[in-house]
Amino acid sequence: MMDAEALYRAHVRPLYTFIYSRVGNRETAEDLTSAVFIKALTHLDPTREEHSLVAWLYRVAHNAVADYWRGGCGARVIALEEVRTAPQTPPATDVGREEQTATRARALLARLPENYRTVLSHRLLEGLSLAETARCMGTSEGNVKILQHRALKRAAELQEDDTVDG
Amino acid sequence: MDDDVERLNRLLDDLAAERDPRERAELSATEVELAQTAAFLKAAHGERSTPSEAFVERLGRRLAAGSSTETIARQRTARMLTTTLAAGLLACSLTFPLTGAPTPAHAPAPAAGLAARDRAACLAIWPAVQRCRADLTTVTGDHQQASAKLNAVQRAPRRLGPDARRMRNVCLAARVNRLNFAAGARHTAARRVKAELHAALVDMAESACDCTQFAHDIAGGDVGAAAVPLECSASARTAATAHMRMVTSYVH
Repeated sequence: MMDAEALYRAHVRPLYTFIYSRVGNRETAEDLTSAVFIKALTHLDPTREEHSLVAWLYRVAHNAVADYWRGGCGARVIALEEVRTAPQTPPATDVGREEQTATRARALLARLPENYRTVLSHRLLEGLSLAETARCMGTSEGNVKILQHRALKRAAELQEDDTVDG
Repeated sequence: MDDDVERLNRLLDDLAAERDPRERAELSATEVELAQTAAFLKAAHGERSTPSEAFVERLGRRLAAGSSTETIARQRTARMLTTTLAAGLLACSLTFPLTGAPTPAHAPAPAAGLAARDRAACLAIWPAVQRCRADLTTVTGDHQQASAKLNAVQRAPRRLGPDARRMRNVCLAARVNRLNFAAGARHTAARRVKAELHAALVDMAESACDCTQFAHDIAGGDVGAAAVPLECSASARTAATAHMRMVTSYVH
C-alpha cells in the first residue's frame, strides 16, 4: 500500500522525465505531469500494491502523451473514463528505466554516423539555429536541412529497433 | 520531399526553442514519430529533462490541498465556486498590460508589487498566458476594444481594498475574454484558447487562497456571474469540478 504523497514524491521526477522525453518541451511536460497526477490521485486506490499503482500511473501518462500528439485541446485534460479503463500494465520499456533516459538518449546519438550525430547535437542539444549549424559544420543551410532530416529518420529507425528488441 | 525537409526543419526549430510544434501546423503521423524521436534525443541533456524543484513543490502543494479538503469543499455553493474561479482567472491576468499589442516581446513580467506567493504563481503560468493573449487577439481581431474596456474598469471608483480591487479588475478582464470566446467560438483556435485558460485556472487555484476578502466583497455582485466557467467537454467539466472543490476550500 502507498499513500498519495509518497506516490507523488517517489514518482514525480521520473514521470516528468518520461513525459519530457516524449514531448520535448518543459512547459508541456509540466502541464501533462500536473494533469496526470491530479487525475490519477483523484482516483487513487490506496489498497493497490505499489507496483500496480506505478504501472497505472505510467499508463495514464502514456495516454496523456498520445493524446497530446493527437492534437486538439484535450492535451491537458485526460478523460476519467480513460483513466478508469486503462490497462494495468505499463509499456514494457517505461517503468524503472526513466532515470536512465538521458543515458539511453546519449547512447542512441552515439550509434548514429558522425555527421548525423553532429547535426542533431547542434540542433537539439546545443540549440543552434540552422545558420549557426551550417557555419559550424562548414556546409550550406540546405545541406543541413537534408542532413538533419535523414539523421532524425535514422534515429527513429534505431529507436524502433530498440523497442522491438525489447 | 522539399516540403518535408522544410517542415521538419521548422519542427526542430520549435523543439529546440522549447515551443510546442503542434501550434504551428498540424503534424502528420510521420512528423509526430520524428518529433518524438527528437524529443527523446533532447533528453540526452539530463538537466533539461529533470523537473525544477519549484514545479515539484508547487504541484505537491496543490495535490495536498486538494486531497485534504475534499470533504469540506463538497458543501460549497455553486455561486462561490464561480466567484472563486473568477478570482483565479483574474489573478493570472492582472499583471498584464491593458493596452498595446500583446506580443510576448512587449509583455512585462508579473508586477513586483504582488505578494510573493501571487507573483510566483503568475510567473509559473506566464508563458501560457502570453500565448493565450496572443491567441485571443488572433481569434477575435479585437484586442484594442478589449483593452479599452479594461482600461475603463481600471478607472472605476476605488471602493474596495487594493487586493480586492485588483482581483475585481481581473474578473472583469475574464468577462471580456469570455465575450471574446463567444465571438470566436466557431474558430478552431478557440478550442485551444479555452484549454489554455482552463490550464491557467487550474494553475492559479492555489493563489486564490489569498482572495478571501475579494470573494467576500464581490459575493453579492454580478461579477462572479459574469465569469461562468467556459463551455467545455464532459471530461474537462469533470476535471474542473475537482479543481473547483480545491479552490473553494481556500476561500472559507
